[in-house]
Amino acid sequence: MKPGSDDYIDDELERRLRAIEQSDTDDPARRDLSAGDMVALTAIVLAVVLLSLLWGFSG
Amino acid sequence: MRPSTQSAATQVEREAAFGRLPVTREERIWSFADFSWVNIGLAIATWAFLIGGLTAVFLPAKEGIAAILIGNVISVTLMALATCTPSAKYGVEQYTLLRSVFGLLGTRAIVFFFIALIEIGWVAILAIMFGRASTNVLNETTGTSAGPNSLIVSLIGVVAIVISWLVLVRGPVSIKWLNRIVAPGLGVMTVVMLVLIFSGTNWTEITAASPLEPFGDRQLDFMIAVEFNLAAGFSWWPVMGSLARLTRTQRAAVYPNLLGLFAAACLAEIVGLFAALSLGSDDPTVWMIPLGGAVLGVVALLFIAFANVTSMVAISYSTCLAIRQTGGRAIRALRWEVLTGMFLLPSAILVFFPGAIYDNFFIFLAWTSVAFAPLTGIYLVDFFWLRRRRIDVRALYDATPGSPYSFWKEINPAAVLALALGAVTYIVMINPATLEANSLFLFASASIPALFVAAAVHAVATVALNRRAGKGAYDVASIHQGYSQVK
Repeated sequence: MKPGSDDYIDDELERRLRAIEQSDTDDPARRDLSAGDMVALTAIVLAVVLLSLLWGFSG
Repeated sequence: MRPSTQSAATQVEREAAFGRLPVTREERIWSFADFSWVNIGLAIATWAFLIGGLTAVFLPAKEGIAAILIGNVISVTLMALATCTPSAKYGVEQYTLLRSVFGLLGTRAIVFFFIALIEIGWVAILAIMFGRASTNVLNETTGTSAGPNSLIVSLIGVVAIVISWLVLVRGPVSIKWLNRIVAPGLGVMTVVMLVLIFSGTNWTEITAASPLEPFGDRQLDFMIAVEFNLAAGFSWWPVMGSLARLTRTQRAAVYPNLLGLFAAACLAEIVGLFAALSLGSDDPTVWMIPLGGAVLGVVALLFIAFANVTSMVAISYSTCLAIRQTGGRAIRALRWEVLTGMFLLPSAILVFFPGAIYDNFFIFLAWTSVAFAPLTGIYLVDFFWLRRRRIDVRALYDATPGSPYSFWKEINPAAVLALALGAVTYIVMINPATLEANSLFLFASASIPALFVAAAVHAVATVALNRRAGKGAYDVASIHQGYSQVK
């Protein structure tokens, strides 16, 4: 089968989906961002916004 | 066939075909540091100078810095969460994942009617900037006095587009090599510009400099500058998800955006703000010779022209790849040279109106946010709340009628309605063509209300329409396959 042909891509897709669906697959990318991450991101945004407003309009 | 001996067309075909496939754990090549460098390389581009110069039109230095930081930190964080998190989790590029939000035809319409049109505009702006930079070099070296909107600017802009097309048809390898030269070069140029600005002036003088053409209403000027910087951050929406699929963790996909697209881009924008305020022009192609003198200025202008070709190639490549991947059989049958030529042709026409396009850059930037702010809101609420961060990966690739993400004949009306109402909200808050704003804009901007309205409409319409009709696989408990099972 020629690499890049539709059949080849379909087979490759199926191979990857099976690998993904194996229940023993352990991929760190699947670990969701934690509540701590969300708090950290919110804190960064709020800190930048508040400090910028205070400094930008001071003096 | 070895990759090095493949033709450019074959490389592109492989990338278009394999780019749609989910990546496995072994193929995730980018750590936190790797993706940070990718982000920094993307962020330091000539458009950052343009946006910094634009901010100087409305605000003095300190308020301008505040507007740049506020606009970018909000939009980059929201955009990164929306686009990078799902792509990193599932190793799937953005436009394949978008099928779970808009359906196959809905996604195709977004690529053709929003992404392609907006990127055609960006290519035209960068080509005109190339033309103006090169014309300034000609004026300096030959003693001519061609104006910023003269025919020579347009003709050189067309040359830039032809060069971009020639690089594009050579495939992804040539693009990679261009980027390796330009990103560090622009980083050095940004630092040199900062040194040159402060060798001719000081902090007190910079902060005392008046904005170039403000409306005169302090709050309106500030919010308009914030709005443009929100738009700058949201304008990364078409690009980041497809890159983030190669990261090893979701943290490595999201946080580097804050280092690159936020911090590095803000640095370049702030340098642009200072240059515009100290030299009295918002056009980066006007700054270089007064700043660096004849020799250094000409070198800087030539580098700006070169860097713009790189950006034009990168934009065109990612957009044409997205068109290829979502466009169906007719588009896939087109030769790569033809597809890229068709994409670049409208930009080549637009460069013959340099004054209307380049000098109204701010109008274009505002229009981009009409689409990208609502798209960000819809993607966020769909993935994080409606789907509880769980996608059926196999169903993303299932094109049979009635498959989980086929919605209503491959269109999700809830998302389309949300996008339309989000866009209307933006235009009600501020008219992008005239910058006429209503009183709420002075406190809330336009992008943020547009994002929230789109998110809310999508959530309500999905619950009322799709969940009730059993469309779109929103019952996440029923997803037993794919990554969701092994989370």
